[in-house]
Amino acid sequence: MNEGGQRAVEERRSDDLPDKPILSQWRGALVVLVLCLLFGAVMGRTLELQVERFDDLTREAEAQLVGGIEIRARRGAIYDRNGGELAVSVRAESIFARPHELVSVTQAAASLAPLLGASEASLIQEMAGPQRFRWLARRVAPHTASQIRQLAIPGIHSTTEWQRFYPMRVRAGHLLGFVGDDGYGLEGIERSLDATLSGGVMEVRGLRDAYGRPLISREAPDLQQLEGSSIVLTIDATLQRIAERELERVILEQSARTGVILVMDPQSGEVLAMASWPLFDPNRFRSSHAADWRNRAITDCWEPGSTFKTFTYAAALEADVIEPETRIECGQGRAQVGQYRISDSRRGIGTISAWQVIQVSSNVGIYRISQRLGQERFHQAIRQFGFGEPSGIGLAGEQRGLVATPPWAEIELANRAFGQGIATTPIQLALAYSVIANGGELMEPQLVREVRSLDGRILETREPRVRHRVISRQTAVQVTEALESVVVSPGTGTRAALSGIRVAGKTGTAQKVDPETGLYGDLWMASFAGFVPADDPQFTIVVMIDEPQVDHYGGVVAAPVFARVAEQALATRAVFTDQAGEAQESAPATAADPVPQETVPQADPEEPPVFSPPTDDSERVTVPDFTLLTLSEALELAESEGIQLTIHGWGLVRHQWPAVGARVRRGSGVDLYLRGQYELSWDLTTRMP
Amino acid sequence: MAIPVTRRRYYVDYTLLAVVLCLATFGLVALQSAATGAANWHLTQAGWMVFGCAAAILVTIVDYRHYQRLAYLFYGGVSLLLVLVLFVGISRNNATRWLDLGVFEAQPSELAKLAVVLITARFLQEKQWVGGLRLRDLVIPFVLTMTTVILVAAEPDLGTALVILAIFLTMVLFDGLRRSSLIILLVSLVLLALPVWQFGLESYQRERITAFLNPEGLHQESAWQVRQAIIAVASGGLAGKGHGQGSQVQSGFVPENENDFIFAHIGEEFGFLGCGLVLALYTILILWSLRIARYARDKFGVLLAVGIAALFFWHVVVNIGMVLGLLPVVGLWLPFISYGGSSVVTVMISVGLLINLSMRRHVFHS
Repeated sequence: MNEGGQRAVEERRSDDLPDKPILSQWRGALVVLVLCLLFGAVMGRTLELQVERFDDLTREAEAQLVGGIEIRARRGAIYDRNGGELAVSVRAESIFARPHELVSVTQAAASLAPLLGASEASLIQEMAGPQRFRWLARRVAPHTASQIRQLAIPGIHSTTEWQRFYPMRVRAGHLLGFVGDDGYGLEGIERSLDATLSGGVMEVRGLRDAYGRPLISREAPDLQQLEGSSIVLTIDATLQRIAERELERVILEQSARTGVILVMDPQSGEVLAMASWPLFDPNRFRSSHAADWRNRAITDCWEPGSTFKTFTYAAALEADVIEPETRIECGQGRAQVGQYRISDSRRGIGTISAWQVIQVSSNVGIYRISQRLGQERFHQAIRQFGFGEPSGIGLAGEQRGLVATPPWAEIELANRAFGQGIATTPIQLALAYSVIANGGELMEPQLVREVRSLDGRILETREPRVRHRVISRQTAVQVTEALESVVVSPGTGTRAALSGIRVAGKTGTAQKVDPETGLYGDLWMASFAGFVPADDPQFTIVVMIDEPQVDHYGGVVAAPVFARVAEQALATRAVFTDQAGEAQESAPATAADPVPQETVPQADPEEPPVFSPPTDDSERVTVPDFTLLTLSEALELAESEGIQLTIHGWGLVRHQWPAVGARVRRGSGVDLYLRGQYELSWDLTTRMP
Repeated sequence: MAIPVTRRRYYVDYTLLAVVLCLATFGLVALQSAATGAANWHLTQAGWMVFGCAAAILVTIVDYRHYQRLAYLFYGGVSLLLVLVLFVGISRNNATRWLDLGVFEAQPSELAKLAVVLITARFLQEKQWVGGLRLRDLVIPFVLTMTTVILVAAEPDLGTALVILAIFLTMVLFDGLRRSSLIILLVSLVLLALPVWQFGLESYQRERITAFLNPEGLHQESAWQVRQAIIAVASGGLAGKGHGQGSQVQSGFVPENENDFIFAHIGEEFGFLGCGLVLALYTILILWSLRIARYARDKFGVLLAVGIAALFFWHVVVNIGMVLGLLPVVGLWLPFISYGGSSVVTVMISVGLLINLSMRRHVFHS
């Protein structure tokens, strides 16, 4: 090596023809050696993986594809007692992005934003970043999905999921509850009967992709075998609508805070309607406050007030400490109880019969009666009526109420005799009134009539169940007589009277404890509980209106609501009041029949069954224009035209297929695609009867 | 192996063309399978190949010695583009690598590889030192190369930056370093790696490398990616599952299976035989490039061919190595096969340069 600091620069002339290769032999050999070594290593690794570890890793590959694939079969539907669909599962498409496949995030966002109703910025944010899978919109309307598919944006995909749809929107929303994104029932019936309703899970090889998202295959018939069972509720959608509408009306009229209307069949304990304010649309459960999901008929306890006197009276009769005609000293409507004083709202009644204590709702009188009964027997009777323990309705979140165990101070006995210092849920109150109505038996409350399989086979029928006898039939008759007097002057509940129908019920006007002062203040719970017809009870109805602002007496606020609900409810069973028409009692009483309806004409055309039953196939009809109708308007139209509807989405009808004017066979189907806003509450001025 | 001097002034290297054609066809077939249910990657790719061929023909027409003259100009232009990328480039997945050219988006870092090959070849051609190169002789090309490397690494695109460095070092080593200089170089490389690891890397880059070193930590995304690639390749077995039948790649278990991880796709669908075929083609390609280097008529030509061979070689080794879990995931494409316009055009231009070299090796300067 010639160092010497100088570099001997050999300028090769560029146009020299090389007489020997510049690439010397050993260097070339070295290069080839390195190349062979590294490529050999790569090849060896391939051989190791694909031959030596083939079995091992192939098993792992299959485990990834097959293991734990969850394809959920369709969830069972929920029907009302007449077969109207309250909750159904429909296919809906969800849009997702695989951001790494996107050519241009901004372009994709720009074209998707108007379709998904999201801002471009938020979509860009969703699609940017290192994730390989992002949901953009879950369960979009079918036409939105097809529009997006037509755009064919690389990296934007859709998959089919089940969408829970409540066609009647707010109807029985609290009771039905809702289903979360993952297909589990989160509230209400959906939650408590999740095991029955939810579809089975199927393992289908190769159907899960790396994103862990199963695809519902339209071609997988096996999946149908796994579909969840359907449930037929005891709820009557027509009565439910009546209850909700009347509840809304009174709440708005009275500027009340909340309220509950509960309608029950006293003979069977079946819940026919259970309305709770504010109304709640499970289709949009996310947009309402979680507190509004509460089904107040079971989750809220109130001091029942005077409606509770009925049970004090019944217990005293049953214990034989009084007779209906026993004279009760009410004096000037005041009584000193230890250091406290109780008083009546109506003064100077004097000495009256025991039944009149109920009629005029005398606090002093009912206290005198409870004194004869004594704490122990009174307490036992209260428990016998089902207060202080869960009703057994089987819904999550049910409260047991509050019934203290004796010994009580004397003032506590007095208070409890007229329903203060005790807390009950509306369902407990309805069951206890049903005891009076059905001749003395405490029923188990029923929400479910039947469980049906996919193809309509009845898997399970729930029969009415008596928990125990509370009072004798004779006592029940005597209490009923007293309750009937309530709606007759000078009773407190004359506004609950119906002409031509015997009404039994009791008003309640409970002062509420002011949460700030802990004292009874100027807040009220107005209620009315009772049953109709008194001589053949078909409906137990409980109306509880919390904090009415305009009036506060149960006889003023709640009794008229009771009357309206009772009148309309009776009309659904072809029992009419005098004003309602000549048809009074035209149909035989159907109370004994546990499976009524079906052949009984719908009393209210506004609420037809959701999906029209198939009609005669022979004739053809013209498809009417459904555009921009609300769901219920569309259903009404469809029924009158003899068309079956398949509903996609919710809101107003935006698109229909077949189009207007097409001739289709009577009873055949029309697809309606709904979208957008609808009014949450009814228009009182135009829709009230 | 001596090729007789023929009368044809322009000799087209059909062997090279055949190998390239095979690789490109194989790549399109694999891409068509990877594109199942997605965009028409293979069609876009074919379009890029046509564009690349046109570029290659243009590159071939001009005598490569003109490129020697234009090397620094080209380098300057590319450097300008690299700087431009940092300021007005398009960001995607936390990296700014693309320039929007209106019609399409391009990655200047791909051209940077060729620029470094050209300037290094020119520099080493112009100076010939007796007894091998000392490090101080290499100050100018090293600074130029490192400028490019840093600009690319700043995008950040660690894989491309490292490959540029690897190509440069390959060319320098090929030209010959003194033994003492070689040792100094190796030691300083190791010393350089430590601060770069500590300060110069983005967290995801560090994560990729730790994921490689600790493949059991499967929660990390790149470890998961590599694990899935390994499973996919292995499940291909000897003969593969068939075109479009790779359940792992087709159901999306291997991300980037059209791009950096396309070898996993090939491994699963075409098996060991397919992998062997691809590697054999690459071996022929690189050996043939070295053969072109050997018979090039001047030192610039030799180094140019060596640089291009190094480009192919490092891309193939690093890409397949990372797919098979032998090397950390750095994001390099597989020549002729991975989906991507800039890479296809770069590769085709490289092929054009090789054809240019082999066609003019016997041409006497008039």
